[in-house]
Amino acid sequence: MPALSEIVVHPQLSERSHYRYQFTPKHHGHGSGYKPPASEWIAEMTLETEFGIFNAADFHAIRDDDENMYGILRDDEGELLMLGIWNEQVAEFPRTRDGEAWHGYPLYPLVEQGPESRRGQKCRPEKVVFDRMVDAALITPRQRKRLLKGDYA
Amino acid sequence: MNPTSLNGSDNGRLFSTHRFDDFDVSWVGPMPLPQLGICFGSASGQVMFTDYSLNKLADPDLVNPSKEAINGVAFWNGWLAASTRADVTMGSMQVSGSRYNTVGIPVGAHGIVATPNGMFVSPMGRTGLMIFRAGSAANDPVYVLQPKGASMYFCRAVAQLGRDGIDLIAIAARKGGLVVGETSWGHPTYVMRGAASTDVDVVDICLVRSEPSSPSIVALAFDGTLLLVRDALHDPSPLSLKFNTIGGTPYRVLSAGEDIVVLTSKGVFLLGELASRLTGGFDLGAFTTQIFAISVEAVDAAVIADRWLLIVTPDEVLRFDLEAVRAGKPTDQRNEMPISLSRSWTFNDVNSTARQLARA
Repeated sequence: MPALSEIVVHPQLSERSHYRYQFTPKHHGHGSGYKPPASEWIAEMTLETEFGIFNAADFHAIRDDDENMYGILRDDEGELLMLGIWNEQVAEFPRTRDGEAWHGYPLYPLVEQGPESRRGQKCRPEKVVFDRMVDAALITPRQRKRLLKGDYA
Repeated sequence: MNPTSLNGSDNGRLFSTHRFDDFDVSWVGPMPLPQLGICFGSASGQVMFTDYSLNKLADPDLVNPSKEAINGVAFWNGWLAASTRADVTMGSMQVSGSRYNTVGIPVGAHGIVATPNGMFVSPMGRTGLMIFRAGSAANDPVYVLQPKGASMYFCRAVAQLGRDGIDLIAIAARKGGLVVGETSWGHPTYVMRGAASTDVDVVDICLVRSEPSSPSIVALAFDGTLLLVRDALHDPSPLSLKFNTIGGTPYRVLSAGEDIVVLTSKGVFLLGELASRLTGGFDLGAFTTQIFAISVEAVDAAVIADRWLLIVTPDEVLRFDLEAVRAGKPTDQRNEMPISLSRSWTFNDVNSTARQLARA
């Protein structure tokens, strides 16, 4: 997907919760303009595929205790694919206020000090998120344990 | 070719399986003190020590207050440091009571190693390389070496003695390539040497037993190729070898005496005598290599004392006796001539400024 110059809203709602989803320039080709740089989806990722990751996260209720959602993308053999330009394999969809469109970005595994101290966020999904992914058969126990360590799977 | 399954083969004589009650293993590595043995890290921030037969030497200890999964443990002269995705800690192994967590750093890392001269080194992704001294106190400085360069992502570090008694550190820096440098504590800036290629995403690295004046390195790229450097200080140009037997998502590369071990999402691959051929100066591309491939759901692995290959799986640990593998010549061992890939490498200085880590 080429860089976006403006917010694009997906025409469909998510299947389970009927959430709206939007694609933001910040995470589509313009992340380097932020300090520290914002994470970006890889250029090969279509908007449709990105929405599919969000839709699956909603469908399987892959949420943390703060109601943020998390998604992954697998290939035909079950291997996790890279989602972000920094080799992230897990995307975060931060909870929005009621009625607002959701958005997402590649998050993890990515170790860096900056965003944590800047935003007060952990930049890593809670353990329970990976347990829920295993329960939903989205990842294997091996992949869960790799991700828990901060390794790519 | 698919790796051999552990079930139903005659390879059972080569390995044993182990489970520990209430200890979910996430990491394994060697333990140098108080006796030679094996250190295990758990998925909830604990460490535990065993002998080579995997008999527990003591009850597990919580070393990382985050209770996240241990992804690295390192030792230096009675000090232990451990890392998780959320924190890095250090403590004494010799003081009783609340001996661990003397120093707690609430910043995640991809692992930790000790240098011969007493630095603990942790790769911290885009942030750089964290370094602190073994035995330092809670208020002593912790530094981050942040490379000036956009594409560096430090994911794995290894260390050994360099020239003139100073430390040599080698780093897998993902699309930033391989980084090697000789370093010592207390400098405001550090200059290391980097080798990168546009096609190569370096995910792991190991040092092969070699002289300090000519360290040999084997690295693993995300496309499954092995990058071999005979003398990282004088000729850093890697040879890229592709073994078709090695399939799956590459995770780890390990040195095991004369051999090299590769861990992927599909299993474990023991490449016979590849390390000794590297250090011996043979033409690597002209040799067939014996490969012993094992299909296993491997999370992580370590080579202990050049003899034991410990493989962490989702719910148990496998211990392979490499001497038995080498001597037994398993029937399912294959020979493969690797493909030598032509790649264009660029070499540059990786300048890093040391800044003190803010721990608040």
